[in-house]
Amino acid sequence: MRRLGWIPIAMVAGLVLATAFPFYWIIVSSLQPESRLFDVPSLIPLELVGEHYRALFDERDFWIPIRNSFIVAGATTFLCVTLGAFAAYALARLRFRGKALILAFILAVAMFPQISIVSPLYLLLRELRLINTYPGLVLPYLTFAMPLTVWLLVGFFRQLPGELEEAALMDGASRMRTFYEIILPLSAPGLATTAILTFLYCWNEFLFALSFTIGPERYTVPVAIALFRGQYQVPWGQILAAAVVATAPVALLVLVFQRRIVQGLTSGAVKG
Amino acid sequence: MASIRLEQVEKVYPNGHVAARDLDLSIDDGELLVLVGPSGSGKSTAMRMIAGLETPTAGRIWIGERDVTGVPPQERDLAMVFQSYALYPHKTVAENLAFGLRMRRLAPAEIAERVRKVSAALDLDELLERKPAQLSGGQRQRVALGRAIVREPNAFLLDEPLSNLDPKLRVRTRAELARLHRRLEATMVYVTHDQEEAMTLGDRVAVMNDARVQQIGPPMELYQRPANIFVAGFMGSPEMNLYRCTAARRDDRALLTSGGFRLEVAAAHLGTDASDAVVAGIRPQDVELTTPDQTDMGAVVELVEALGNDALVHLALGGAGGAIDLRAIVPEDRRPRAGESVGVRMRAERLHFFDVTTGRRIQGSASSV
Repeated sequence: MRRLGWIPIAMVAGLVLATAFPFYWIIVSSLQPESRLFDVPSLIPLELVGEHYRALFDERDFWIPIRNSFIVAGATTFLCVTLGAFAAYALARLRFRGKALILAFILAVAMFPQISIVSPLYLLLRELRLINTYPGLVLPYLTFAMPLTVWLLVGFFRQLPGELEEAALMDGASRMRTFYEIILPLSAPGLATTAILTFLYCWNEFLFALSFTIGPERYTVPVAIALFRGQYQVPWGQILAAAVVATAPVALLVLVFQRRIVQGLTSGAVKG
Repeated sequence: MASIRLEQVEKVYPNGHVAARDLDLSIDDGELLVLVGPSGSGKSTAMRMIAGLETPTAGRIWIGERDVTGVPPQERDLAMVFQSYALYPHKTVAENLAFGLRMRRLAPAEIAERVRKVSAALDLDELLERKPAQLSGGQRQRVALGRAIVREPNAFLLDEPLSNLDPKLRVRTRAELARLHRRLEATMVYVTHDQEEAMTLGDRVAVMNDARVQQIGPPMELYQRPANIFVAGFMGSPEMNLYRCTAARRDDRALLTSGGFRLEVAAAHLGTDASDAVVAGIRPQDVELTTPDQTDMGAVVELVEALGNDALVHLALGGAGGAIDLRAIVPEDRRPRAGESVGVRMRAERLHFFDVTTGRRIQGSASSV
């Protein structure tokens, strides 16, 4: 490999610094006593305390939004990947009329600005008595998560050599049998990537969660953080601690699977 | 085993591309039919239609006494060996072999027994627990073959099964396939683009080009009496020399000329049609080289390629830089040197004549049978 000159290195370093700094700042600040937060900022923590984290879980029951987020994001991901896999397989492999149209339509659905469907969805969910329930979040989440899943999986399935399926058909396997005995095991990496990405989107989602929940018992993590209120002041320390807690599982997931995710996102872009 | 019959089968894709037209094939029970042709000739489409992986747009396909035109591949009970082998990558060799039997709901004991037999016959015992990725090309090929054999299907479809093997292994596997075919007395359809494979393997060979069967028959018949210019050029190696000649008739003789090519033949060879142009062909094996004074067709040697016992000689008919090329096969001990002037002799009964406009063989021409 060619050695890089100092200009590109400096640019990359600057970029990394600029992206990483806020995270560093959040972590450091979340470990400072409240009184220090408004002092002259210091890059190096002078005093480390765990009080905000303690308050988060003891006083605010932050477990509840974490549990809610896991349930909602988990259920959405599960539904998306199972149902999406069938849809994607059909779109990737079967021959039928209007396939291109359906794919375009799915993409169009994903392009809708969330804010434009919040009100109609709210009315709909209220009619169905689903406001402030888990299904009341999972169903709307499917509107943006499903198109993502289907598109990603269509890419994966198209990549698999068609002769494998033909071989299975010749061997006497039905389409369904071929799907779950040949296609699914071979697409495990694709399914995993898709699941992780879908989970991340749902975990971070804010607008729907804010609009369709009423009480803290159904708040998801982003909503809970946004609605933190003290009696006389904004509890910045706790907000920062909550931000760290909300980021941790996501960051962990991405770090563990990063190679897979990159592979997944670029698959189908180039052959091989 | 069963016979296979295609009647007036046609495949036109929605974009208008014609992949097969007027296909009439009948493969007898226990016969090995080779479909050979250049890429895009429709041979693979023909096989895929027999397999049920493609649906013909017209015509009927029969397996035995059953019309299977609209029957999905699962219910045709045919086994196919793919060019890429298409082994299931996540299954072991044993599971690959058993898959088709499981799908047919055979009893586990019966499956185990059949897998054991095939594995022994194809020397796969050591490999049964391996995954395809851990196998060499030749081993994968044997597994693919085994996966077909274990099924004991109505017929075998082989789609360029040897083309991913290195040349040595290919020749050996080819012979093994021929033996296997005899032993199983299996109906087989074999697709290849390699005319040598077609010649050595087929009971009968169907040469395809341009979505049509150009000629069908035993290999030697195609070689000795090609039905048209395409078959003449495609079958046989090195390629047949083909010249478009003007024919000047005088009484019962005709003088054929084309650049440096000059030959007088009996007019009867050119058929009844009194056309003044004809395509003449002669195989390199049928060209004789002599000294320049023994014949009135002279040539200059441009290049000699050693083939072992023989040499392939590239000549310029009618002198150096002459208008047309001629390929000739001569015994190694009589090979000329490059640049040498030689005489060329062709025996009229070794020539093939084809109609200039239709490309069809003219009856009365060659006859080396």
